[in-house]
Amino acid sequence: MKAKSLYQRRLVNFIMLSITAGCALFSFLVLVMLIIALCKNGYPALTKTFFTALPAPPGVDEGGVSNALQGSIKMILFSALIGVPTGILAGLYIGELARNTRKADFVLNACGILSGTPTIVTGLFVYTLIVIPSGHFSGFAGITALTLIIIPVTARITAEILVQSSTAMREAAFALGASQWNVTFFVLLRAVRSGLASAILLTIARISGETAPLLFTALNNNYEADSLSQPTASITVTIFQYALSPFAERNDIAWGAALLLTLFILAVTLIARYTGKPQYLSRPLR
Amino acid sequence: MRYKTVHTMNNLLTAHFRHLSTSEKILRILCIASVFIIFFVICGIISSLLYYSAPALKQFGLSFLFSRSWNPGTIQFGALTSIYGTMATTLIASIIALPISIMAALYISEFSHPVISRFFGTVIEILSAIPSVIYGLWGLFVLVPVMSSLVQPLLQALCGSLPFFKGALNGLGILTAGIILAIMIIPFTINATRQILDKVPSEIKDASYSLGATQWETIHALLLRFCSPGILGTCLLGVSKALGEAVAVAFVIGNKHIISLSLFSSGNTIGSTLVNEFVEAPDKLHRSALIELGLVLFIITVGVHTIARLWLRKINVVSGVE
Repeated sequence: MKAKSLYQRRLVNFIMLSITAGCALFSFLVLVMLIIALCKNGYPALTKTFFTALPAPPGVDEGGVSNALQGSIKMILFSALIGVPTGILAGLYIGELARNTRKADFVLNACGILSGTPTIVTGLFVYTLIVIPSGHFSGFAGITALTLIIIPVTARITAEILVQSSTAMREAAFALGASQWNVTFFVLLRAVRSGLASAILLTIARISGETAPLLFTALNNNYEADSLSQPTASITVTIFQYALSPFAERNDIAWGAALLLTLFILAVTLIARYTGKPQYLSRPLR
Repeated sequence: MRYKTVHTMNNLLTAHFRHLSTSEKILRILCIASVFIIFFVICGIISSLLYYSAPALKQFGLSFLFSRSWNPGTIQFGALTSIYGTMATTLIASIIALPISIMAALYISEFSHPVISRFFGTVIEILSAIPSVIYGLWGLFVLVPVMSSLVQPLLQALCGSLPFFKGALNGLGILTAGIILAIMIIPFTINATRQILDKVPSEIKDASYSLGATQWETIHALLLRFCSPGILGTCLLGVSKALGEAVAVAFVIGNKHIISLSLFSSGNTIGSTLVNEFVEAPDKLHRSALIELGLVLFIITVGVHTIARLWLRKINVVSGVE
């Protein structure tokens, strides 16, 4: 093989550098275009009525999304309150109680299957589980769907973090005679709390954008739902339905809601990133 | 077994010598109960989807999968158009997204300065957190006009004689849906590929650099060879993500039950059909056919996802990638 000159090799290197940099820039451009579109179309919609009024009939200008805001907050909050502890407990089983057994592997695989399940299928399942027997869409069904999405994700993250955490520490704790309970809650979970907290925040950001499962379970409601046993409006379903509506003022409200949702998710993601120190922040410099 | 450690000793101690206090028993019971929820959900998904799709299964049998007709009026349902749409959009998304994301990951992990790499890390994290409904909204109001006024006429002018680029230029259709899907899976695949690239021991890279190799030579000769099995696995994971996506596609695909070679023609995917028709399906057989579609989607997606996961595990990449 003929050796290439240094000049040639550098040229090839530069060309590849440019191509790959272009690809990376593409992702940045997408983000910029998204944010510009969201701000341009969404900001004018964020008026006082947007936050305080109920949806107006089609063609009327005075509509808001107060019920969807309330519904979303309720459903996300309750599903996080149920799903996160359950997920952490399942993760504790995989990463601590049944550590390095066949059972743990089995459960981990089950979580893998669930996290590969499209959320729309989870929504269908909850529809058959709750909506068909009870005869109507409800906020509870929405909460159930979101909870079922949170559990496997949290379980896997917890297990992952526990498996990677220091073994010396837990052995030291056990050697001092600490009980499993003490080791789990006062040594292990304490040691990994910042990583765990950031992972949980990211999970909450993720479920707050779920649309399809809510469409099949909580559906939507033009009024304020008195209780969660009624159909409950949510921001994401509102965006979906209003964006496909032929009325311009509904499209505007969809953009406003999209901007609001994006800002929320952006804030949660950035908080998670700077509290949790993901691994590539601590990556050694080359 | 992946966790080869000394903790079995611990478990033995717990099992045979240590008295289990009440608090430990409670902890154990709670954990096992949580684990049971996970199994309950898996079994529940399979059994309830099977149960509620039984009427359609009985009525149409296997021909459900191969029939093109989807007509709620005459109660004729076949999944072929939806399966075709799902495959076609996923294929387009993979062709666009996978090369771009592998290249971008190479740049972020290897070429760029650490500060720039951190910056792109944040960008990608934000992009992957943005929900699909917002990508769909953006696709409908921003991408579709661009497609109809710029991209589609251009493609038709360049290679209009091909059957792929015929038809009305309304901006909607399979190509647009594929592009939206591509944009959605790019951040995920970049992140996953980076995690594979970061597993290469830095000594190997240092050795290559100290022999005088350029960055691209190091990437080409070492990294890509080292990582190609892992990258294959992450690509499959990305594909499974694209297969299961519903809402964003429903915005831009046009939602017609037809199969057309043209990428500009409207179509539908399993996910988009479910999103559009499920809530309004009054007829029992219609609902049952939709649930059967969901079952097909579940099988395809979980199949691809599981193959990817088992492959990544076989080549010994810890599951953190997902």
